[in-house]
Amino acid sequence: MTLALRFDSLAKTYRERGATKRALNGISFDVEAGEIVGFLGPNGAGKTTAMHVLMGILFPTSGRAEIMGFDSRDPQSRQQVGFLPEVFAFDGFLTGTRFLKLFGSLGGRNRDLVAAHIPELLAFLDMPDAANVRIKNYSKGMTQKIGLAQALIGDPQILILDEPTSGMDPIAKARIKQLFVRLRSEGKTVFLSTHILSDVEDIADRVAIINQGALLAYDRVSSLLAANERGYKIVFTGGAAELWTALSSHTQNTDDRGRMEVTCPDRESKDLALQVILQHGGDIVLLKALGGSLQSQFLRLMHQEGLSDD
Amino acid sequence: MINAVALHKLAKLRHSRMILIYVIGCGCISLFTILPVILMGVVSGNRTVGADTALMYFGFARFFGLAAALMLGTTLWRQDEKDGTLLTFMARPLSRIELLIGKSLGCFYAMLIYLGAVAAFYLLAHLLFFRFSIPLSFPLYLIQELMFYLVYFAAGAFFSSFLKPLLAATATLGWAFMALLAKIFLSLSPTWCQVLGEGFKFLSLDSDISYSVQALFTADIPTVMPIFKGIGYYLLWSIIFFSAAVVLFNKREFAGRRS
Repeated sequence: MTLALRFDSLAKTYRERGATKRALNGISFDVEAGEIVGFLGPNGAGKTTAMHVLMGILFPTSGRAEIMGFDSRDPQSRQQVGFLPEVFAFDGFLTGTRFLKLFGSLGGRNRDLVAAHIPELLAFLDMPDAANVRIKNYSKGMTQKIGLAQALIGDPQILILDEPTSGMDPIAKARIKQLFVRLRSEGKTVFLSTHILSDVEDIADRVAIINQGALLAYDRVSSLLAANERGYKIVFTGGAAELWTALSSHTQNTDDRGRMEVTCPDRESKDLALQVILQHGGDIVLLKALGGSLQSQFLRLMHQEGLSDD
Repeated sequence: MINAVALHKLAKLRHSRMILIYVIGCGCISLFTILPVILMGVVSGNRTVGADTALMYFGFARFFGLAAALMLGTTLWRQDEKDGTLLTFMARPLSRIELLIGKSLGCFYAMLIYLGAVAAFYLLAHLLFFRFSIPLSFPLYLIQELMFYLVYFAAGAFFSSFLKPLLAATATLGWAFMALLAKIFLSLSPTWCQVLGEGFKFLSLDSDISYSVQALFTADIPTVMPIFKGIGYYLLWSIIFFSAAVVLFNKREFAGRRS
């Protein structure tokens, strides 16, 4: 597989009011092309710093960051990259179209292609009417969307996005998730930092979790979830009278709405229970992995770091 | 790509409220105070009155141009950093040198437009006084004026590499007035004053090298000649300051806006 991004023992130290602050503590991991990778961590963990080093905005104290084999300090490394900063802002006097044309031309893209891409992009982001509206008149969500549009203009191979759905409504968030999945299917790489862990769990191939500048975990989402799995809960209604007896080997319960619940310790017993419920005419209302969510895994890691009580 | 950055900078300046107020102010001063006096001089047949006032206008124009150049230099990228737009530019496949040159080029275009307005005023005054006889010195005067602004622009850009805009403007003016200090110290007899005076003279912008505005209206070739010295001198200072500003910008790290 081709490497899209590489962090190689990347360290970054700041001088802040006379004190030395270590923002990144020698993190190393690779992002393969065509993957969606979630970059997670609590506030101040070093996510934005790492992204800024990638974009050549900050320089590493030691180690290096690479984009498609180019050192992050080389402008050539940004040739195929779309970047959305954490707080996107741009000159309010520009209209959406003029802004996107400007950034298309700054990326060295063909003007005609950029001009043709703009209406399609704005339509997908559900803001076709914003094309001729000045950015200063945009809402927060629209500003974020136009920021995302500038990252997408010219069809870059890699997207580096710092909290891309911040300020967007749930419909827009769902669309953006779809967009990321579509981009992955086109072989593009999406490296995103976000606090919405359920989104990352839904769409990401891998996650990198950092805290205080150190990489705590970097793995496939499925592996991280499996490592923390504590069984399954099945909620169902109806079914023949003997169903309850047939499930006697599982922990049984009735929830506050009178629905039946069984807890299965592992994948095999869950499959068996599902089979039994369906055979006896039960309707499955909910199937949930216990303790296996990315959120719980993230909180567990933070708890180990002394950052969470959960 | 450099020109796209330059044109964007120019558009940004055009939409800047501060610049707009500034331009309207300059326009009002020239149109409502100076132009009527010149016209009255012409009507009354006393051309000296009109010519003196026109010269006063060029004095004002130089002062306003200098202040504008200083403001443009000190906010060259600082304003973008404050607005949070700099990161978006830097994330593009542009080198920092290209980015700074592009922004400076946008400011240069703005200075050219300003000088265009000054030239228009001059041509109007000349039309009134000399009926289209435009001396050779005038285009050279404009070039020198542009170079003069460039020095202040480049010095402002250099000082703003490590100082906030207001402090950078103060430092630039301090540097510009160093020639005055040099003169004061050189006029004093103690050796240390002489040494200090020579030091200031070496570091300062030589105030003696400037073209007489008077020559605009009485120009002949001999008085025009020193202007080339002025153009070269200002250009050299501009290159020194701008190169230093580019080197410092290239090494600088930027922080993003926080939510």
